[in-house]
Amino acid sequence: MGRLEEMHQRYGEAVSFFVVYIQEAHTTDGWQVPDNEREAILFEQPKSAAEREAVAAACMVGQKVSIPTLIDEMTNEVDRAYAALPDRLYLIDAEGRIAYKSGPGPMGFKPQELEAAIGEAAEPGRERRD
Amino acid sequence: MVRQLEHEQLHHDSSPMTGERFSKLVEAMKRREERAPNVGDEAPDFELPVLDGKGATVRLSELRGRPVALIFGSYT
Repeated sequence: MGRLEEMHQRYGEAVSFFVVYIQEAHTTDGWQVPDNEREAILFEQPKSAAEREAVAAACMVGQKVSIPTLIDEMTNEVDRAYAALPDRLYLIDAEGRIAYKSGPGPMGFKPQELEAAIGEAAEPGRERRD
Repeated sequence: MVRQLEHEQLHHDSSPMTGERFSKLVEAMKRREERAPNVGDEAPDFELPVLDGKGATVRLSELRGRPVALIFGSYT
């Protein structure tokens, strides 16, 4: 998240940033993974909107993120619409069209690609040699 | 919708991640992937609550006029 936080600081005037908190990918009652056990990141899948909000809040405090956070509904509607699980990046242009779509995470989660797309959207033509 | 449930079941099942289950998960992810919006497509609209927003919500379509970066993720 560090790189995304830097991007928010740098481009926050020109681009709206939102974290969209979706269902947990690797819970103690689901597909647990060794990395999380090592770091004691142990959560059960939240069973209600209030529980989901509590885990989202713990997540954001832990990572010192200033990007505003939206919370997906318990129906996981937005997660589904964007095929977001476990994590993913999108940039939407000023007209509401997809300008950049990362690969599915964790392999496809590449903040540097998002930054390049934001650079192009925020300062179009900067990279071009006219 | 049925396909998506299949993907979620495969992802969240607490039984061991065997080779067979992993292959099924990869297949389910491919099908799910085919329905996600691509570059140039209209972004699916949504309205979601803001964390600590005291009931405030954000609707994507109301943010037109400047680009929006969406960072999807969870804690784990």
